[in-house]
Amino acid sequence: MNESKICFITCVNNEFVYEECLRYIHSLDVSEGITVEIIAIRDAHNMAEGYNRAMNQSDARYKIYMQQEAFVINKHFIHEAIDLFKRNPQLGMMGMIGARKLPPSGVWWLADEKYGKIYCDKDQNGLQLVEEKEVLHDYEKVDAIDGLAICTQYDIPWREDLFTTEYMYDIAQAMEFKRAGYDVGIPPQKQCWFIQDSNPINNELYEQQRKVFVNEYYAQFQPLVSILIPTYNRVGFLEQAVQSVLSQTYRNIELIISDDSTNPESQQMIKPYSATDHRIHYIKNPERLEMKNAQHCLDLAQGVFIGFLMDDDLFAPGKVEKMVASFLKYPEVSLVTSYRKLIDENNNILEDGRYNQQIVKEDTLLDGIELGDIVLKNRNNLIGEPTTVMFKKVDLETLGEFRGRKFTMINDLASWLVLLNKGKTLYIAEPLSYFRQHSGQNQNNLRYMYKSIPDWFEMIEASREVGFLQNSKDYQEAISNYIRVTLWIIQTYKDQSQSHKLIEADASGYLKKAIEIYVQ
Amino acid sequence: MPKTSIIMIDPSNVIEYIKDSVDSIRRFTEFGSYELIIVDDGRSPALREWLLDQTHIKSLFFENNLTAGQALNLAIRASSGEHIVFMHSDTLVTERWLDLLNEFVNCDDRIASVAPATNRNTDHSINNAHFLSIEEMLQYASDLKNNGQYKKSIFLSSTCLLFKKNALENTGLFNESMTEVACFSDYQMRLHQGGWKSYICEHAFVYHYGANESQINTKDQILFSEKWGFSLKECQTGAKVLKMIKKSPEEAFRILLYGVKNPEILLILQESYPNCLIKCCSTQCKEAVGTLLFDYVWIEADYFSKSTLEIVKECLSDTGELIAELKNANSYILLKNIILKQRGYSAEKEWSLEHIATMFELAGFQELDFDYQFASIKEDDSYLIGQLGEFVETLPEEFAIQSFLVTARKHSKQEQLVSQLKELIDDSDKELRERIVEYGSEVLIPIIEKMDESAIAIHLLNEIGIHHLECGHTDEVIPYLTKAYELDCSYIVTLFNWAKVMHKNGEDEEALRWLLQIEHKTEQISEWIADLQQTINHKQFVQNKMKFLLRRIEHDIERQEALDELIESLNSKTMDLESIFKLVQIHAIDKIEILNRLSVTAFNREAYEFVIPFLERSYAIHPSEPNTLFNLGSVLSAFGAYDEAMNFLMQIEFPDEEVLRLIREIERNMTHE
Repeated sequence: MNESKICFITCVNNEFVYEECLRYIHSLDVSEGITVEIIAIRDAHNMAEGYNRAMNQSDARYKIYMQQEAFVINKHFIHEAIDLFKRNPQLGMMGMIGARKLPPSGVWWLADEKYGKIYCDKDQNGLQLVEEKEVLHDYEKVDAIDGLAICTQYDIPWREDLFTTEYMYDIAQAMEFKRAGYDVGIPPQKQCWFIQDSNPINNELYEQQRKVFVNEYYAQFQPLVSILIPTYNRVGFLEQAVQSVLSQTYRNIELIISDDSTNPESQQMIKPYSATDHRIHYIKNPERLEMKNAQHCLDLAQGVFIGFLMDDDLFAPGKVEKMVASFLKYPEVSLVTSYRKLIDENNNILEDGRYNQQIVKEDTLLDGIELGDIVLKNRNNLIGEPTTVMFKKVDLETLGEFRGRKFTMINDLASWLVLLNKGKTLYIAEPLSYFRQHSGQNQNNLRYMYKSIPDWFEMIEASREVGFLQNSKDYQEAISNYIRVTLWIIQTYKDQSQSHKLIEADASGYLKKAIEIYVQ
Repeated sequence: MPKTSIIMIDPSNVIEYIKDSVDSIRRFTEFGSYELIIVDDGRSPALREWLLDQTHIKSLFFENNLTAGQALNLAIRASSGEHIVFMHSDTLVTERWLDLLNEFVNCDDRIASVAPATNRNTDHSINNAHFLSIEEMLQYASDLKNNGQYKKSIFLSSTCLLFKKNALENTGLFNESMTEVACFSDYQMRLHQGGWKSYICEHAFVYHYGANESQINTKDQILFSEKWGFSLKECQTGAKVLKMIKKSPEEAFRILLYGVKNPEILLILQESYPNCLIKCCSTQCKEAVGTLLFDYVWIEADYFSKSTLEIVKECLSDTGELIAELKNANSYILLKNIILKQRGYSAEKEWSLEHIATMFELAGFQELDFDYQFASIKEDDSYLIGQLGEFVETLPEEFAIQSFLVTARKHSKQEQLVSQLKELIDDSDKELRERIVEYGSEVLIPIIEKMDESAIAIHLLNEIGIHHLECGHTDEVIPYLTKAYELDCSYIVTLFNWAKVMHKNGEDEEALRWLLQIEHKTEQISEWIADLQQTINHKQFVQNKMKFLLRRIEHDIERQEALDELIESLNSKTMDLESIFKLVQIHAIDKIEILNRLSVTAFNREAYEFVIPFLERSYAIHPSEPNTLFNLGSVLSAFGAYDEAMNFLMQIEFPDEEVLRLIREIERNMTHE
């Protein structure tokens, strides 16, 4: 390696533009002892291939991979770049503009936190200064940089095997440098270092390359998400549920299937899937865990984010990506939910019911306490079923428990109240999951309904201890609704001559307490 | 120049008019080239008194009323000029009026008379010109000198009329039993019969107040009709016929004038449409025209009847139009005449709107257009109408309409159009196309769209669209091609024609877009695509080159060379200023700096025409920028415009030593001057 040599590398297909590009390179200040080499690759199959060829051809320690439409206007570029590299041997690669964290989609410019600046000249719109956050120290560590000009001090092969166009090769190279343990950074630029004449994007090609990129590098920029399916004797629906996970646009998923089945069908079904996709973790429970199966899944989960999928429900393909992107965008969010559709046994979409009404028409941040108050007041779980919701692993350890009490009838809500109490909720207005309705399914099943009498009262009371229902009017309304529904439940059991269940639940005791609260 | 005698026989009661008239003649007519003769029959003592004081006016005083004919004959006898001008005494002449008339009348021995254009000519191209001031009128007159035309005519307005004395001697005396209008019309018919020619010479212009227009009385009308076989009113027919003809001047067509006796109508038509065949007839129609079919048939009002309608229908071609003027049976004029017992109601002479429609329909006409002819309501008539209005609740709507000008067709326009369109499919004749496009896209497109086969419709839409394109009416093309594209978005001819239109509009990128849509490209199309691509690339190349030059200037890459090259491209007209401004506007960071550098370079390279524009543009972007102000100051002072230079320099908020030195220098120069 020649430590005092810098090489400008360009894949050329337009001599007129390249000639202009060279004028700018030739106008740069060159410090004593530095040799400048210029390599043009004129017959490159693609950017990565061309860059590899030039890289192997040059012994320069410092290499500047530049698009022919890039014009360097910082006259001190050469020594500033070399000085920076010399001061920071861990810095493998630099770009002019980039994203600190790559969003789950892999599209760097959609990131929230970007650094650097360039002048971008689009023919119709003219010259614009694209200016992101200012870099205040030697360099800002980033996930992704734009390929307009890439500076390196180590040679790592470009992935010409994967990136056969002018797209994504640059972000991929950043990933390669990070894999090799180097930093990728944006230098501080008081004045812009480069002007770029930008070309329109070929969306189709870009999208194709983006998928290749995500497939290859997801583990490096996507946080792990655990999708948990507790299942019991439903092999047909389960297979559909598994497929809806595997076809997620988000790649960094561990799929945990905890099988309570009394037959081997599910296990048989899952075998070919897990053989080809290492993201699947299948567990056959030796004994049925029943109510504890969901908790078992959660205990096994390694992911940063958790999403349950009931074995008969389905995810929409973009669900995980959208929800993870939301968590990354809004750190204050502890729960993400969405509008969902109802489907029947044959996946036909049904009309919306009371439980899945769209709360708002567009994606909205909601206050956790306020949302909890609405749910408690109206006795309506607007937040959704486990399939709908996603949360952070750190925020919830035990399911169905709130303020030390286990809930059976309204266990979901107990978990959600814990999460609502920890931050904001993002409601996504797009339908991201499908909640299956079975004919004959009755939510108000007499077998368990009586249990909601103590559950709801205890939940209302417990919720007030952590800040819900602080407004007395809301509290009154919650109690009033509680009394009304409890009276209706009592009547229903009486009509069915099952008053003994009421005694078991101490219906009269809870009703009395509620009325006392209401009368005060 | 032969001496001219100017004769006024109708001295106005209002003496101001005649004074103005005489003043304008003195002002605009060469002294000594004319004599002024005024016949005064003693109706106004003030006038006589004034005339007695005027030494240069030859006044002929009489004590009793004279007819126009008598006065004219007396004045002619007293005149000594070789040319005689009759003029109303409320007329203003304009510069060189008499020279222009004299020059014209002398250019041909057979020209007997010539009249100038006036503001009150109704039959001719100058329509009732109104002026806010005398100056405006004189300016108008002077403009006419270059734009006016000569028009052959028979009946010239007696407002101002020049005769050759020898023509008058040859033709004889004016008829002394007629009043003015009839008297002149009669005389002009006699000149016409004698083979003399008369012209309107629009190069000359006189302004006529029209204070005391003489009316045509019934006695004159009868005398005139008996003598010449047509009524004096018929003199208006010519203009109406002309208005109804929708042909281009060179077009060959046939027109039949039924009941027209006035030779002037023929003359006007022949002048306006030299290739048109005109036939005149009255009752013996078949004998006169044989089996000829006509594109237009005109029926003179007095000759219209049901039977006439049937006769002339046979002479009308399938696409021909019959035009007739029918008197309105509900007109107040008719009512007035009945009340005044001037004449009775006659069912065969006047018609109501409904009656006309039925009558034409029964005669086999399919389509009628009505043009209402309103009578100008005179003062005593409006009193009559007002009084009548009090008797009845509402007066009929058509009360003020004197007559209906009816245009009738044997086949509806749409039917005609469809058959014309079908004809066009078989034989793409240019004249036919021209006739069809006259209807306009709003009429044509719905009809074409309903044609039996969409392939035919698309073909026609393209053909008509391209016809417009060839005539240079690019905007007219769009609706046809839009419809054609709507009917079939892959038809090669439509796409090709779109490309042609866009190319003609200078939108090569769009043209290329259309061509690329063509699925099976012929060799010709592929060649054109290649050409267009090359043109676009070249344009793009020039644009990019200029952008690069600007960028080099901005970032100090071979700056001086770039500046020189840019100014050179202006000098050689490869680029224009506006394009450079636009490029600076959208591609430069520090626009002011670049504009100033360009200006300085232009100055140094002596491309002075660009120096100020660059600075002006820079000034417009930021008026208080000191560098621009200083450059404006120094450039303007170099050009010697010290005041302007100072004006800009004074706007510099914090002038440095260099600015102050320049200001002192300019001040020194100013005091030296």
